[in-house]
Amino acid sequence: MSLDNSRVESDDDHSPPTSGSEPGRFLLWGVIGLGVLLLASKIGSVNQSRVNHRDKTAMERLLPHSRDNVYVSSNKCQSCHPGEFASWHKTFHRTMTQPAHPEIVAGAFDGSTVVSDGLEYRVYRKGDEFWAEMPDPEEMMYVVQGGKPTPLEEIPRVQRRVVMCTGSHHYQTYWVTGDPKYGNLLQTLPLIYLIKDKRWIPREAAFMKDPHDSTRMITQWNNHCINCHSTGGNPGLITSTKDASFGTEVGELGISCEACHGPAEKHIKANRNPLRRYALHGNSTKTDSTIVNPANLDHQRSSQVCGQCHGVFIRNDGQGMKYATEGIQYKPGDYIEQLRYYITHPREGSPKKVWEDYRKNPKFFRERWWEDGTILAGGREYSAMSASSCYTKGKMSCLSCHSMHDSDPVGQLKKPQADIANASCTACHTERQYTSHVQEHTHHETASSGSTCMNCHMPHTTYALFRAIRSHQIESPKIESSAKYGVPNACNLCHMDKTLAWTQDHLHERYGSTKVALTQEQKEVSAALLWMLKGHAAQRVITAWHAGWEPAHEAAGDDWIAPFQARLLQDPYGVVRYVAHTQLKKLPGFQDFKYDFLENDAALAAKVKEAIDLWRKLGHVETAHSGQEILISEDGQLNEAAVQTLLRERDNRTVEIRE
Amino acid sequence: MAKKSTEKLEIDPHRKWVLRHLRTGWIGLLVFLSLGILLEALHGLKLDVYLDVQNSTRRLMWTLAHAHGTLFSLIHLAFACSLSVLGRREGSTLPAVNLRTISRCLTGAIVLLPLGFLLGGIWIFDGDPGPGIFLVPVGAILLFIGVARTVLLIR
Repeated sequence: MSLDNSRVESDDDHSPPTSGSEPGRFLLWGVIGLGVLLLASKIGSVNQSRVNHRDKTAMERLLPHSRDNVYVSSNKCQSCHPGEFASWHKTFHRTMTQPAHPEIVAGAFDGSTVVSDGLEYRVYRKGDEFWAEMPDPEEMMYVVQGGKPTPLEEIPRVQRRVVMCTGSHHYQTYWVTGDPKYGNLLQTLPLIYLIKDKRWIPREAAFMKDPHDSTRMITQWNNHCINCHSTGGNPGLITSTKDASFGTEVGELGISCEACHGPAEKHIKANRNPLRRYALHGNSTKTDSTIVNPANLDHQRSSQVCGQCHGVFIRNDGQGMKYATEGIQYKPGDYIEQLRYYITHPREGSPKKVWEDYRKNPKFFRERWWEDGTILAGGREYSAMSASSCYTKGKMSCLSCHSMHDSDPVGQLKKPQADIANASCTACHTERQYTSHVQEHTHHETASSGSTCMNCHMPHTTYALFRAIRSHQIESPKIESSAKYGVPNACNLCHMDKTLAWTQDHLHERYGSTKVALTQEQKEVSAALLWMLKGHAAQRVITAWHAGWEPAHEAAGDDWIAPFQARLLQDPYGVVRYVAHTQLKKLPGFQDFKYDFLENDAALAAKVKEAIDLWRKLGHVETAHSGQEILISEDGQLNEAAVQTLLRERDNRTVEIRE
Repeated sequence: MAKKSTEKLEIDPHRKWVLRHLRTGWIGLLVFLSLGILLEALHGLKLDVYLDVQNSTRRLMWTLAHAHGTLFSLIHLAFACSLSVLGRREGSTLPAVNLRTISRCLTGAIVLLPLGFLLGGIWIFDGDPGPGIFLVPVGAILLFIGVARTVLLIR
């Protein structure tokens, strides 16, 4: 009976489903399927977050610790200021220092071996981790920085994990873990990866330094770089132990919100109250006292926010150790001079103390300024601007031209001003000769590059990062600076085919400049060629960069420069060679000119010859650009004897630039 | 004729309220689904005013207006259906005074809460919505009262 019943039930089961049960079954399976999917995705995300968390925790142990008791970090700012967060997020300030994650590391850790000053460094990956096999960095530190008499080649080789990167725009360099007995010490991997060129170079090749000086560029991130490459850094120097060690903390890696707006903990707490927020929203004249907005500060304190990094300074008495043990004391909105002494170059009218500084250590000044006191080293824009009348007599600040939030990440010029280059100047200089009748002042066509304020008053006479950068010391071209101190001037960096005498005559005739005595060479040979062939390394690198500058090509032509620029391919300074090549490639016919600035002397010499031969072959000598000034005769022949004479007379003084 | 009408009222004593909330629900759906289409168009046209990261508060507010408006419309329809079901039960006529309160609360909520989000997204201060956002808590309270009283009414 039961069997029959079961058969009946079984038959029923196999009967076609009724129309009423079909949707119900679909619904049931749908719900079950959805539940399984949700469960699976939940489990997956939990596992993934565990993996991420594990990796993150391992990295955090190696990196500077979070200083979240004071600094809240940009993540907290994002929720209320999404637009500002997004615009800052695009900047190279943010990516100045980052953990060495695969999506951030630009360098090819492919097992390559790079030689830095005779020592080998091998870079490689282990999964998502980046590693270097290298001479023990602590031993190296003792030998190079501490004077321990161990031969460098005897330093034992070790494998160290790369945990942090500096830079993301032009090049990137890396930091490896130190010996744990020194806390979270980070040691330099003395290699640089050139992002555009996709190649490694030794660190010493990336800077303007004495090519005969074998002092290694070894440093530790914790006590030096942290100041400007992180937000709210505290080196955390611990001196109580036998070997000093570090408990380094940062508010955030890179330059983030609180670097310019100050620690935001109070701001966050106060603004949890919506009534407070809406009271502030409703009153446009009232500012939030719990946070600093550099745009609301006076022009000096506003500029000091940038000047905390973009300036030449030493800490006031007692501040050095306080910084090393407690961290950065300056907060945006403070008067920075209360904590630091900003060094200026002794120029006419400088206080006695500045002259004493100079006498004590002239090398310090030569590494940062031209001899006439205009800024040479890039990254010191605050020091340059604060020596300008626009700042001392006017109200100019960094924010007159730059913006962190309303700008292109390259240069960070305020957006409207990227198109209207003169707008920041004409905001104050409203007279007709600077606005509606600019030609009366510039003596250049209104729409030409010669009528752009910056090209005459902020020439590219500062050097950093393999390029010439605009001087932020706003001044008018002075013939005396060029004649007496050899500082390249705006006129001759554009009119590269003209002599100093030509410039002097024009400045005298147009602006009433006082004439100074010039040498016969300065009267007869193009100033640019004198700087390029006979000048010192800083003059050479600045002029080499201008050889590829488009406004200079428009003013002086671009078909005669190559045989002179080519000589710099064999320059003793690596950075001069590098810049010479990058700019040579901007000359007609040289776009594909292959060259490696780290080749040996014989190869470099061969490249010089190859470039000159190419120029001759291109046949540009028959153009209108000829004459005694540029050492090319009317029939297009290069005055090789004169070139050789100038090269023999080259100023071989040691030049180092602390960019 | 009059008798028939009386019978009908007896069959569905809450007809007035049912019709009112059916109408509100369907009109609400029409309005807020149209708003959804408008928001999709803003997506499709990639308009900065809606999609730019600095306008993310506006985007959130308008999305919330669309979502809440649609959901509240369904609540009105559910309320109408509930009244209709209850009305078919013998002797379950609900007190008119309670129905009036609930109806007003639900109607106020469907107007004020989505409107608050919508207005809050028009004029924004960084991460804060505009002053229109203050309508939202009023609408939320009305909704809470309406739903709570409905629960008490039908338990």
